[in-house]
Amino acid sequence: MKANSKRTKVKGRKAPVQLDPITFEIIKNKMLAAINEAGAVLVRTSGSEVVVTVREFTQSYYTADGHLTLTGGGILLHVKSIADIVKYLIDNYENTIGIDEGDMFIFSDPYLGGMHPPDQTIVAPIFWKGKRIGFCASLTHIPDTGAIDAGGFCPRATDAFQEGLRLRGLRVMKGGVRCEDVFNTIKGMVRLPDIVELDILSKIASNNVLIKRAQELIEKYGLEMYERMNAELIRYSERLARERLRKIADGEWKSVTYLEHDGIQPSLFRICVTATKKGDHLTLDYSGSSPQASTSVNATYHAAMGCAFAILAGRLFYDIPWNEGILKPLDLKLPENCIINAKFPAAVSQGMPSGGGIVVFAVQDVLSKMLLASGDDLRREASGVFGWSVHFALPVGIDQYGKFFVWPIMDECAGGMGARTYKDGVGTGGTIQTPKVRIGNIEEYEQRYPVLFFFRREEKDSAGAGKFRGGSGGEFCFTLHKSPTKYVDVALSGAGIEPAIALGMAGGFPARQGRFIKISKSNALSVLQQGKIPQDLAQIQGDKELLPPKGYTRVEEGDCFYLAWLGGGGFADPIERDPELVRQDVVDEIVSPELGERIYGVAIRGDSFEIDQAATTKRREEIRRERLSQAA
Amino acid sequence: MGRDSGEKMGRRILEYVEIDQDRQGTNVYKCTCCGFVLGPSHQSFKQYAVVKERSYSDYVDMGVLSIRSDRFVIREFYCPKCAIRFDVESVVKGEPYLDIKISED
Repeated sequence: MKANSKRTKVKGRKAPVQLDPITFEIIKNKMLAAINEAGAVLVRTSGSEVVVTVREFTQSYYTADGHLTLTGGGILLHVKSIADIVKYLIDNYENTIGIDEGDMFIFSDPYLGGMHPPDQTIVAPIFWKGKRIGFCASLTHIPDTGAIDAGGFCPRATDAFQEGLRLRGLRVMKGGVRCEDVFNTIKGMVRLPDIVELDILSKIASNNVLIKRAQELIEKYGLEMYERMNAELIRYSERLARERLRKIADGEWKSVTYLEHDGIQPSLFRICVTATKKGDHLTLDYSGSSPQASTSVNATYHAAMGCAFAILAGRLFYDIPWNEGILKPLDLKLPENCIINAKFPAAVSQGMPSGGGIVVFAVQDVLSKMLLASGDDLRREASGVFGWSVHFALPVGIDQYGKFFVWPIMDECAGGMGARTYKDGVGTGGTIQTPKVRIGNIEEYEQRYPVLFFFRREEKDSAGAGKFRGGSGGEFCFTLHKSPTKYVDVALSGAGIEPAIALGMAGGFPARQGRFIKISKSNALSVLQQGKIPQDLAQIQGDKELLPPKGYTRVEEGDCFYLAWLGGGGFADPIERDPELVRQDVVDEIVSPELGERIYGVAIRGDSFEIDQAATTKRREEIRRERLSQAA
Repeated sequence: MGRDSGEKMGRRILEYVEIDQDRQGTNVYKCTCCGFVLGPSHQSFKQYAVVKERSYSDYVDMGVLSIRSDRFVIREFYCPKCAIRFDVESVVKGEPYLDIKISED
C-alpha cells in the first residue's frame, strides 16, 4: 500500500490525512468485525431457517456515492449486485423523495440487484453530523415472496409479474421510525408474514450495527480518515487484483456447461464462457450462450455478474479485501436476451440455481484451467469443479402442528469440493462462493416439518475420479410423518441431473449427476415397524420414479423422497492414483471396490481390503491398451 | 516411461501437456509423462491426441455417472504413446472441442 506517499503542500489547503499501513489494517479489520457482528445479529434476530440455520445473508459497506468498499458476507453471489442497488437508490431517490438520516430502503427486484425475488436487501445511509458519508446494506433470502408458487421459486411462472414482490426501494424506515404502512403492505402480500417481518427487522438491526460501528470509527479516527480509508480500500484491492492477474498466463480458455429442462419440457440451454486474460485484465465473454427461456430458469445480468464475482473473489482474490476494486480489471460480456442476461419481464425466480447457478460451474472450470497453466504457485490454486447448490427441493404444506410451512432444503450447499492439484477434495465440504453457509440438523428438520429421515450421508462413488479425487456429494431420504393432510408438495429446481457439470480437470472425471427420486407406495414404514431403518435406496421397495429436474411432485403418506447432490470433479488421470489411497477410499466407503478396479485400476481383495499388486499392474496396463485400441 | 532426469520442463498448460521447443526451435506440444511430441502448438493439442467419445450410458455402466442421456457424451483425450489421459469433456454430441490458447510471447 502506498499510503505514505509524499505530497506537495499547497498553500492555504489542508494536507490530506496520512493513512499508514498499520492504521489501514486496523480500520479494515474493525470494519470486517462490524460486518461479522452484523451477521451475528441477523442470525439471532431472524426467525427464518434460511438465515438462522443456513446463513444465507450478506452485509456490506459503501462509499457516499455507492461504491462497494468492503463485504464479508456469507454468500458472495450477492455482493456485486447490492452495489448496483445502492447506486440505483442514489440516482433515483436522492433528488426526489430524499435520502435522510435514519431512513432505510427495501429492495427485492432482481432486475436491479440480487439473484432472484426472494433476495431482499435493505440499504441504509450512514450519516455523521448531518452529512451522508456512506451506505451499508444487509441482504437475506426471505422464505416467501407472495408469488404464484410458495417459497419464491416459481416453476409455473412465465413472467416477472407472477413472481411476487419486486420491491424497488420502498422506505421501510423514516428518520429511525418504522413505516407501518410499508410493513403492513408487505406482510399482506406474502404467505409467511410473521417470518418475513422478522427478516425485515433483522436486516434493520444488522444495518444499525453497521451504522453504529462506522460512526465509532469516525469518532476515533476522524471523518477524513474514514473517507480516505474507504477510497484506499478500493484502490488497494484493485492493485492487488491486477498484480494477481499479471501472474496468470496470457491466453484464452473456454468452458461450456448446460442447463437442462425449463420446467415444462426437457429443453437444453448452453452456457458458454470464454475467458481471455491479457496483462492485468480479464474478460469473460458469454457469447454462444442460449437465448432466454419462456419460464423462470433465466438469470438477470446481476445474477450472472454476481456468480462471476463470487468465483473470482473466492478462488482468485481470496486474500484481497472483497470490494469493487477487484471488479475493475474484469470485463463481462453478456449477449442481450440470453439465458443469463434475460430481458424484463422474463421470469427469473429460478435464476438461482438455474441460469446463474450454471455460470458458477463454467467460471470455476475456466479459472482452474487458467491457473493450471500459470506456474507452480498458482497451479496449487486450481481444482476440479466444486459440486454446488443446484439440486434445490422446497416442500410446502401443513406441518404437524397444523400450520402452513415452506421448507427450503439447502443441504446441497454441502457439495463435494473439487480435487486439488496436490490433494483430494473435501467430501461435502461446501463451496467457496458461499463461505459461511451451513446445512440444517436432521433433528431440527424432523422437529419443524412432518417428515422422518432414514439417512443423510456422503454418497459412495459420487466423487469425480482422478489422481486426486473430488470430495463426495451427499444423499438423503425421508418419508412423511404426522402430516395432517397426508401429503406435501415439493417444488423442484434442479440442474446437473442430466448433464454432468461438476467437471474434472486435466484428465479427471466429472462427479456423478444429482437426482430427485420419489418412491411411491414404499415399504419403508413397514421396515421401520420391524425395528429396522432402511440404510440405502436399494433397501426401500416401491415404485421408484426419477423426477424431472424442475416442477412439482406430491409426496403422500407412505411415499419416500430421495435427493442426491453433487460431489466435486477429479484432477488428473485416475490410473496415476496411489493404490494405497484407493484402498483407503474403499475401506472408508467413498469408492466401491468395483469402481476402484474398473476406473482406478486397483484390485482390492477380500475382507481385509488387501491390494492385489499383480492384478493392479495388469489392470492398469489393460486400461492403457483399451484406451489406444478402441479410439475414435 | 517419463522424462529424463535433469531435462528442462516446458511451459505446462495442463497436468500432462506442455509447450516446449523441438530441435528446430518450433514450439510444440509434448506429453509431460512420456515426452512424446504431439505436434506444433499453433493448433489445439486435442487435434493430436487419441480421442475416445462414448455415451453417458457407457459411463453409467462403469459406475462413473448415475443418469443415462442420449444427448450427452464424455470425450477423453489420450497421449498416443503412453495413453495417459490429457483431458475429459462432458458435452452435447457435436460440441466442438474446448480449446486452450496460450500466448507464447
